[in-house]
Amino acid sequence: MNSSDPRTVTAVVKRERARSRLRAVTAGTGVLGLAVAGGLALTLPGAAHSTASTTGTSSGSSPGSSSAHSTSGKSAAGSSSSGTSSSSGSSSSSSGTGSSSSAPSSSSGSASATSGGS
Amino acid sequence: MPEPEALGTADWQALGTQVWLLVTDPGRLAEARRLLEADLDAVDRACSRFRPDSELMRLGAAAGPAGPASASPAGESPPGATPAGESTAQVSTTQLSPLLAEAIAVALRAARLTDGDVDPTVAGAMSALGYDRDFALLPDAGPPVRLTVRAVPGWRQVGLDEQSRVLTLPLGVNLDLGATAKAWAADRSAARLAGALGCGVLVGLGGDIAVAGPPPEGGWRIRVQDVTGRPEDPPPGPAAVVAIQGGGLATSSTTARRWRRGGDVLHHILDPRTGLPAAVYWRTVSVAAATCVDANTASTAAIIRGPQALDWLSNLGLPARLVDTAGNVRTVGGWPAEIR
Repeated sequence: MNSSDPRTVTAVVKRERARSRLRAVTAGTGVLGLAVAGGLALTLPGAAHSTASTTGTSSGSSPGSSSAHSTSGKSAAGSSSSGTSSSSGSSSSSSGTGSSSSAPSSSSGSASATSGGS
Repeated sequence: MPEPEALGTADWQALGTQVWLLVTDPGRLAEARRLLEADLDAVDRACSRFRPDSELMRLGAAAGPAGPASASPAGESPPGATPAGESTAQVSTTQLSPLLAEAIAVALRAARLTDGDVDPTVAGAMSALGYDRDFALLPDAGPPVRLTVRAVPGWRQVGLDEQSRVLTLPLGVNLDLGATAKAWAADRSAARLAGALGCGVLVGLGGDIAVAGPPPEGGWRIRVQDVTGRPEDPPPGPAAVVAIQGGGLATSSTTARRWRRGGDVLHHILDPRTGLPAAVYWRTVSVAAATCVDANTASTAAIIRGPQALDWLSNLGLPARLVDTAGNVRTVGGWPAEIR
């Protein structure tokens, strides 16, 4: 094999990726088992996620500016802190109690922030 | 009825990415920024792969290139500091600061929960592909790099005793915390700022967003899209606006942090099994979870898992939005329908 030939390298890469994918599939049960078993640690949104409203909660309150997102400033609903701020390095036990507040709902308003690749 | 109060907003550059800070009490914005800048500076000093004086880089220097052992920076190996894997390679042991110990613990947890899809031992592979400096300083194009299929050393080679904060690392294995550190930092700072200031806080580091404290009415409105940008600018591609009340939201994308070497276009999400950029099935994946670091862990793993990610995310019950290379959008786990 002439490994310096870029076509050869590409073929090797593709083959290895296919093998990796196969390994991933055959390992799927284990992966899910681990994830589910670790579900208490991997902070799932829990049952509340399925109730994410499709009607939105903020339609009609859309301001025109990204910085004019209005607020009453006193609603504490769903305000659980989700930080893994322990200095002991014990973040593996990050709380899942904020589940009811982490499910997104649809919104027709203008955004205050964006989340994309960076 | 009193006039609704506007959010206080600020943005700047740190950790090699754009920082977004929103607070529900604009009067606290200056203090919030001061706190966040201090937090991010501390994280940068501990975790940066690109500044020679960071604790992580000193760790790499101590571990040195693969080969004969050099002197252990921490002297003798303390009790409990044993590598998790089975490697018999010579190792170095290092006493870590609380901050770096926590960051590495978070990275190892992400690796464990994703069966190694999100692996902090990709540093060597990342550098070999040319991503060896702050991305802003990385040339868009450069000479070809040899694409060698080689699994990364693997997270099981890394031993961390969380109580003593002692890290055990085989010589020649370097860590890259880029996959989890920003999300963890966002979680950490959002919680800290909300506690200190008593108002709602959103911290966004690139695409990693954490919120804490009382949210604004209707929640924090966030637009998910291929590449993070200013909310007032039109999105570059498929996008959707959602609202979250708490927790975190993260987006991973193969359309961001790309560079060209020779005829190859590379991106920054590596498949640890090949040491190469993950095959692109999804261009962008957004996930919401109870913490930003969990959302980010899942979104990054989903990119690597490709089509299997749909079932994986569904089984985890994580609300997610996945965009394939053709721009088709799939949602799972209760991600809300998009309003046109």
